[in-house]
Amino acid sequence: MTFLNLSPLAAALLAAATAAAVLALFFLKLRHRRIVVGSSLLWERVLRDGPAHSLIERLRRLLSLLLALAIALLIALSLGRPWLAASEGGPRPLVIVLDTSETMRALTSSGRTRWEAAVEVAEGVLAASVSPAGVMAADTSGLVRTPLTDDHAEVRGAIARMRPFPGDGRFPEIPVADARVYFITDGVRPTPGVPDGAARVSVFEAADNVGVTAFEIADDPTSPSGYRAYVEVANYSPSAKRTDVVLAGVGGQRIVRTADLEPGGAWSETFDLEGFAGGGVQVRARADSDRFPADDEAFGYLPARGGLRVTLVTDDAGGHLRTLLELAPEVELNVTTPAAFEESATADVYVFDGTAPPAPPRRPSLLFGPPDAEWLPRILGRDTDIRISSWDDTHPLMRFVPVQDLGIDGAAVVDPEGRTVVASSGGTPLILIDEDTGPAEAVVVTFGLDESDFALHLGFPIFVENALRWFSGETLPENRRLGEIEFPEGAEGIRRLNGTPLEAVIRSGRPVVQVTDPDLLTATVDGHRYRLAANLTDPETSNINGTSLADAGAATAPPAGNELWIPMLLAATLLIALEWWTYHRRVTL
Amino acid sequence: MAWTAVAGFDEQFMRKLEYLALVSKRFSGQFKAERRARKLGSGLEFADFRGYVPGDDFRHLDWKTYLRLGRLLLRLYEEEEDLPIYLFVDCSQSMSYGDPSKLEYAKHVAAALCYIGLANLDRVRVIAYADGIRNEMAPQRGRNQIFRVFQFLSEIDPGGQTHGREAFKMFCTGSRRRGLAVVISDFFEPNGFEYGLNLLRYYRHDVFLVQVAAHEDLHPDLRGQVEMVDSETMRTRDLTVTQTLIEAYRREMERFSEDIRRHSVKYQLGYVRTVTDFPFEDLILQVFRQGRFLK
Repeated sequence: MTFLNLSPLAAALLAAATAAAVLALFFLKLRHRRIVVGSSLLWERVLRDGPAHSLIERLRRLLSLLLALAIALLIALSLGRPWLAASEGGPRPLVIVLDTSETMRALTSSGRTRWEAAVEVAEGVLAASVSPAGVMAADTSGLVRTPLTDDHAEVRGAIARMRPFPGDGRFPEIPVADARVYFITDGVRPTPGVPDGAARVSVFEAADNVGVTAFEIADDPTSPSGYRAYVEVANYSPSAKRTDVVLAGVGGQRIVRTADLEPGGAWSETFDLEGFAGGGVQVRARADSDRFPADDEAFGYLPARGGLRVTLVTDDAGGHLRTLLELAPEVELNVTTPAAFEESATADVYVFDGTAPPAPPRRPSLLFGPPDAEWLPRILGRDTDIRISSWDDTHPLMRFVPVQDLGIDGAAVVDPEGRTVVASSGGTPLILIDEDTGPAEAVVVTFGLDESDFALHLGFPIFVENALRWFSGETLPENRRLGEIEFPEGAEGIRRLNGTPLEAVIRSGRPVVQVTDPDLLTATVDGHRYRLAANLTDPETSNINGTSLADAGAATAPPAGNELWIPMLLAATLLIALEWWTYHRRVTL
Repeated sequence: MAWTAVAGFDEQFMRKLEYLALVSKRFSGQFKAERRARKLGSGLEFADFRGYVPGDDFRHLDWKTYLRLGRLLLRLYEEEEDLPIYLFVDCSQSMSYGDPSKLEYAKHVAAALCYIGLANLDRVRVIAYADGIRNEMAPQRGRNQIFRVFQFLSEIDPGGQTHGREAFKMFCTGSRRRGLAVVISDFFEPNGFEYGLNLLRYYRHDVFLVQVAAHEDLHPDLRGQVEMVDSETMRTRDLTVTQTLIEAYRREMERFSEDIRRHSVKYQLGYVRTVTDFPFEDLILQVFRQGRFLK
């Protein structure tokens, strides 16, 4: 017999203290009433010859004490949750593997999570199994958390340190042969690598869940400065759910929708964020009896608008570029000629139209068809057969910019060494990004606006808008799944939306943080603000009732060990009743 | 007859005695012929002859027989004398037990028997005993002496251990006439009640036993853990009183009473057993009906 809540020493001390207390109380109870009788002559005869001195009577006198001791010890030791271990087969190592997938955080009807139930089952397996060959604990992060040991406390400690985490799991490699493997899981997330002989112990319990399965903020292609948010909410509960979907911005903006979702049904809507100020945006799905809070909310980031001071350096007083910048609501435009150009402390961004300064400016710059300059990519020649053949539409600069049908009469052929090419025509770079040469970034378009129809093209305002946002650092954040999140090299000062710093570990030169709940993370990379939205938004994970253990025989029962506290308390109750009965019939004291 | 209350004997008791006095007259008339003393002496009625031995009174020699047979024979006459009645009242501490106490009940019984004896002109003597003779009343005769008896009885206080043998030994070693010895006691004697009674029997007293038991003796109201204290010895004993033990005690009490009864039958002693909640006048009538009290 083992005690789940007590060490053997503590159990022995508890038993000794209880017995001592019972004995003290018993002998206090034995203080007799003083009764004077006329003569004790006949009593003496009775006691000398009668039943009081018989063996049965002596045992009867002890019966009360024995009953009291038994009752007290049963109650006291039941507090230690004793288990009666069951021996199984021969001396095979025991391996306990816990499923640490995100769905294990779902709540059960008892208010505990599946994970807490799994830990309890694991402790039960540990207590119920006699394994002289040792025990080992592991989880579906793929790691074996303890060596093969006979120290159950070490195994319990390792299990207590395990946590469910988002992301794909995998079954660990079991380093011992012929082991009895118990895999404690809810069977929702697929776990590759489970050996055939492993016994699956299910902690699955059906639960209601309505979750946000998609949330994305993107540029509004129809508006140069607009953004839209796409929200999808799905109901994975066994019953229909009325759900409130709330989209909220940091400036107090709020959009509320109510959706009636059938079991398995989904609801989606694209919201115009015109009225939202820049900053964090949260979407939240609220439904009754929701048992999986991890997917009830998701975060995004809306770049700030306005306030960008742009100096346009051009000889074309009435060109399309000037018109575009003048119309941009977030731009404070200053126009000058190349001859009058001087760097100014009040400028945030420079736009050079057909010209370039002799030295790299201290602020980011966008250059269209620049002449040769020392700090710019060296011009090798000129190419007139231009047809954009490749572009990186994942780069913030090129997002939503259609360039495949651009008509370009000619472009300078430059050496792209040390620059990032985001659009090119064959081997001729057309748009380059230079982040290293000068004190600030520069975007070089190797053809002039008067050499192409780019200024009249649908993607031109988007390109300029993208360039200005990229320069200002106010770009849409990257979206990542919860779990281990990797930041760019050099990222520092990683914080949550509420300002709490996150501890990062450096892996391959990149900071990596563990994120278990939806959040909007910020960091500083090379002086720029870097944002990252970490959300669950995963239909497979939100479907917490999609277990593979629902079929009969898919799961096995934990090994037969008996938790003894219930029978012990029942026995104590019976003994109390027996003591009451015997006391009132003067059988006991 | 008008009774005046004496300490311990209230008016109601007096009325009961009056009633018993009337009853005793009826019984006295019935048994008067049987009340001759067995002693041979100087009475008027011839009883028997016996041979002359030196020292005999010459006046009782039958000279006519001497002339006819040549032998000296002495004429014997039955001596008429009153019957001594000795009422032994156990006043040991154990007699104070019960409500009413056994001693109070014993005093009432003794008073009633005294009254009957006095009314029959017998010489009545009351002896209070425990571990010896505690007090002894001078012999009384005649009904009007009943107040002295009352006075004597009312002054008896309980105390000491029961030791009948010692008390009866003290009594018998004095020059006592044989008579009717009525012993009123609970007979709780550690050394056995038989030894004391045997002494009375050896001295040829006619012994009558009245065993008084308290209601509490028969039905002890004890339960659970008790420290039992013997009122005579003050010895204590811890015991657990269970129903089984109570039943065993009752059986022992019955056995004890049966032992006294058997002893009485064996040695032709009068015996009656009573309980303190039994009306004492009924007890007195029961005593009369047994016919041993008024021989």
